[in-house]
Order: sequence, then C-alpha cells, then structure tokens
Amino acid sequence: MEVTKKPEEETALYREYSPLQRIIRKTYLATINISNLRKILSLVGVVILWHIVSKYKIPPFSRVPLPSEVLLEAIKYVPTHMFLTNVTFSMGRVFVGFTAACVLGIPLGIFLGWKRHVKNVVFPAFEMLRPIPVISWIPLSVIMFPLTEQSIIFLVFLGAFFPIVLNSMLGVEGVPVNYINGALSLGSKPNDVFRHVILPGALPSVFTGMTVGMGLTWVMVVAAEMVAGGYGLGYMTWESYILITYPRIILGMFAIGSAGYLFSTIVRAIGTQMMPWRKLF
Amino acid sequence: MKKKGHVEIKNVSKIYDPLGVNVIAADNCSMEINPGEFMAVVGPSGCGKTTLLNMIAGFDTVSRGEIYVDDVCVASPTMHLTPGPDRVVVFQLGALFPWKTVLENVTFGPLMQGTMGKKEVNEKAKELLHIAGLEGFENEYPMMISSGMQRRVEIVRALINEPSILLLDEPFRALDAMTKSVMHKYLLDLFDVIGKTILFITHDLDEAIYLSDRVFVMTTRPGKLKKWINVDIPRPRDIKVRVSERFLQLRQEALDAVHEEALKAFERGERELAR
Repeated sequence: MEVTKKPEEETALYREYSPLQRIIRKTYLATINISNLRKILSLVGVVILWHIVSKYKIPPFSRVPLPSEVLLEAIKYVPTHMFLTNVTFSMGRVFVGFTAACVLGIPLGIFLGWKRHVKNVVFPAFEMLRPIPVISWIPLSVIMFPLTEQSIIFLVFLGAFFPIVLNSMLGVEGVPVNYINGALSLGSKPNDVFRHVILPGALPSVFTGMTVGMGLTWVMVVAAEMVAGGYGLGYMTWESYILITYPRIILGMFAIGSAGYLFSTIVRAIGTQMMPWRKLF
Repeated sequence: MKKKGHVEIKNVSKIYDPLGVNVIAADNCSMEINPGEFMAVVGPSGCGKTTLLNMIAGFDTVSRGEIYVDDVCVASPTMHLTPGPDRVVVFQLGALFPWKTVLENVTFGPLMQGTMGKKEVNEKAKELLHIAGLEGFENEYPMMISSGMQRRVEIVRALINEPSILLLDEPFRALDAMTKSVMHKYLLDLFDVIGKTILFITHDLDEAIYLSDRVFVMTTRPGKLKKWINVDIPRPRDIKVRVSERFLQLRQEALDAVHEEALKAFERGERELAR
C-alpha cells in the first residue's frame, strides 16, 4: 500500500480540484494513510490501557479517574466561564513573564558574550544563582512581592531568564572566528561585525534559550499557582484535588500540556521565520 | 605608473611565546611578489605558511622583519595595518555568511566600506557572478548551493573589492578531486582575465605548480624558504599541461624538496595544526 503519493497524483490534485475539495481530499487521504493509522492506534491504545487500569483498580492507579469520566468533565467544564478565566490567567502570566525574560535576558546575554570585561563582573554572580531551583524561590518571591500576580510573574520570569541569558551568551561566544575574520578582511568595522556577523550568528542559540525557557515558564506558573492560589490552570488542578473532583485533575493536566505545547510552537514558528536560512530548525 | 600588487616580505619571522617556550613559526622568510604574479606557497602541515599569510593580511603581528605592499609598510614589529579589503583573504574553511544570500554576501564588502551605492554594487555583483557561472543563484542561501559554488562565491566576494592582492589560504582543500579540477580551471581563467597578484597557499604540489608562476617551498617548522621553483609553462594552461614533460620535471623537483621536509617533520612527530 502506498505511503507517499506519486508526483502525478500531486499535480492532479491541484489541477482538477477546487481549494475546498483539495482540503477534503487531503484530509481523507491522510486518514486512510497507514502510518497515520498506526499513530492513531498508538494513542487509542494508551487510552484503552488507562481505562483498564482504572476500571479494575490496578495499583497504583486504583483511584485514578476513568477516561470516560475525564471526557464528561471536559464536556461539562471547558465551556464554562471559570475555565476560560483560569486559562487566561495562566497564559497571561506566562506571556508577561516570558516577554520580560526575553527583553531583559537576550540583550544581557549578548552583552556578556560580546564584552569580556562585563562578563567577568556579572557572570560569577549569575552562575551562583543559576543552580538554585527556581521553585525554591517561591517563598522568597511571596515575601518580595506583596501582590500574588507580581509574585507569580516574577517566578515565571526567573524560570525563563537563566536559560535565555546563558544561551544568548554562548551563542555570541560560539560564532566561528572564521566569519568574524572574513568580515574584517572585507573591510568591516567592529560595529558592522556585531550587526552583520555576531547577531545573526548568535540567533539560533538565542532561540534555543527561548525554547528551553518557554518550557520552564509553564513549570513555574503551575508550581506558583498551586502555592499562591487565585485562578489559573495550576490552581484549578490543585483545587480539584482539595475539592475531590478528581477527573478535573486530569483535565487540568491535559490543558496545561496543550497550552505549553501551543506556546512552544509559537516560539518555534517565530524562530523559523526569523532564520530563513536554517531549514532544519 | 607602477602596477598595483607588489608585495615584499623582508626577513620576516614570527615567534610565538605561549608558555615561556619560544616557538618559531616562520623564520627569516624573504620573498618578493611582482604585480600580477601568481605565487604559490607549499610546505608540510604546520610549517607556518598560514602564519605568513595571516601576517600579510593583518591577522597576526610580525615579530621581526617588515612587510610592504605597494611600497607601503603594512606590518613590522611595531605596527600592523588591520585586515582590510586591499589584502582580502579567502579562507580554507568557508567564511561565507550562512544567514545572507549569495548576493548579500558578495555585496557585503563594498557596502560596508561605503565605496559603492546599493544599486551600483548589486549590478557589479550580478555581473561578476555571471562570469563565475552562478547567475540564477543570487537569492539562494549558501547552504543550498554546492561546495564548489560556495568557493566561487567567496572568490567573487573577495574580488569585488578590487584588492591589491588576493590571499588564498588552501581554498580548495575541502573539495573532492572532480570539483577541484573545475575550480582550478575557473581560477586560471579568472587569473588570465583580471591579472591580480595572487598568493596561494596549499599543501598540494600539483595544484601549486599547475596554477602558479612561481612556487615557494617552505621547510618544516621553523618555516624557512627552501627552494624557489619558476614555473615557466606558458598561459593559458589547460588540463593537458598536467601530464606534459615540463610539468613532470617541475613536479619532480618540488617533490624532492618537499619530501625531504615531510620526512623530517614526520620524524619529529609533528601533528597537523588544526586551522
């Protein structure tokens, strides 16, 4: 059975069908495609396995809700205003914290990589703070910031800040000296070298830092919300445990995972746009 | 009026002092390159040929001796001119900017120096790329084109600055034999047309004799001039030259010189300096 389409079929698609028909036809072909079927089978298999271990109370899953219960809870709860509020709060915090980390972290990282003297002054302090797990900053953050919102955003910021600064700095330092020498040989002044060689050369590492940082922001927002409370997907998940509405725990987990995946995809898409010379990002 | 591109190296030495141990990279080298001459420098790995090129280009300081380009002192123990487009270098491991298209790469030099307007330099770049056989690829990124094409773009990128002297540091080292032979033809044709002074560093003897007017054979570290070889094969040269009698004679001469040095280097346990 064919897994890839022959070129003639591809062109035939574009010649004979209208755009709507193309979409329908492509979707249909995707569903009967055997490798896609295998992927769907794997996901279905996981759900079936989950159902079995919950229903027959196999430890340690004896108190885990059934997939059907989670689905029902989703149908009931997702359209509500409360859910939307929770989603909005979490996403807002992540957005603000992450943006702040980029705005402060990327220039700082680049500066540290470009100027050795600045690095000698700033980097030791930075490296002393970096190994501290950001989650352990939670109590300090609560003391430092009177408002819950500020406190949570600060923790989100911290989560993304360290990888962004580090990767930006390493990106600048890792620009191959060949490119710098090539630019100098062609008559560039140091400022031109910075703009045309260092910055584009460091860009892939900057985006690596942003991607890693984005992952950590979601960890932080959930952890901070569980402790500090006051709306948010993390708070909702924790609350479901307190209120003994267990299906909502699983729903919360799925929601957090999906939101994190969405945000990471957005960062990656921005990266691909800004670095058109890299086909493999 | 004297033609541009006269290079004179007078008793130049380069001494590194990494850990208090004197390492002599180039020892009392002297050579004179006439304007419009194609000079090759050959030697075993680690003999200091790249150091010599770096000193002319301005990437390295000179410990002793002086270097003059067109009667202007570009390097001496007390000063050296920063690298510039009059002595432009094409590196061994490519230095084409991967984040710029071919056209942007080629126009980089003149635009950075401010010597030409954008429209003017774009036209000139397109013309030179056409001569190099690369028209149609102006808006491609370097990763999309083959390595032979990349080398050609780099040479065009260097040439568009109208340098006094073109410095090539083993530019074809990373190419396979077939691509290399095409690049040799391209360089020979180019040289016949533009006639600029070229300094070509290589470890490949055949390449050196085939391309150049004179070959300067260096000893192993500390690098000294061992032998001059005047390549008196007339231009334009084609591929048949490589099996002609004169070529084989010159090759034998050069091989004898280099082989002796290579044995010495091997016995001393030299390891290839990663460049």
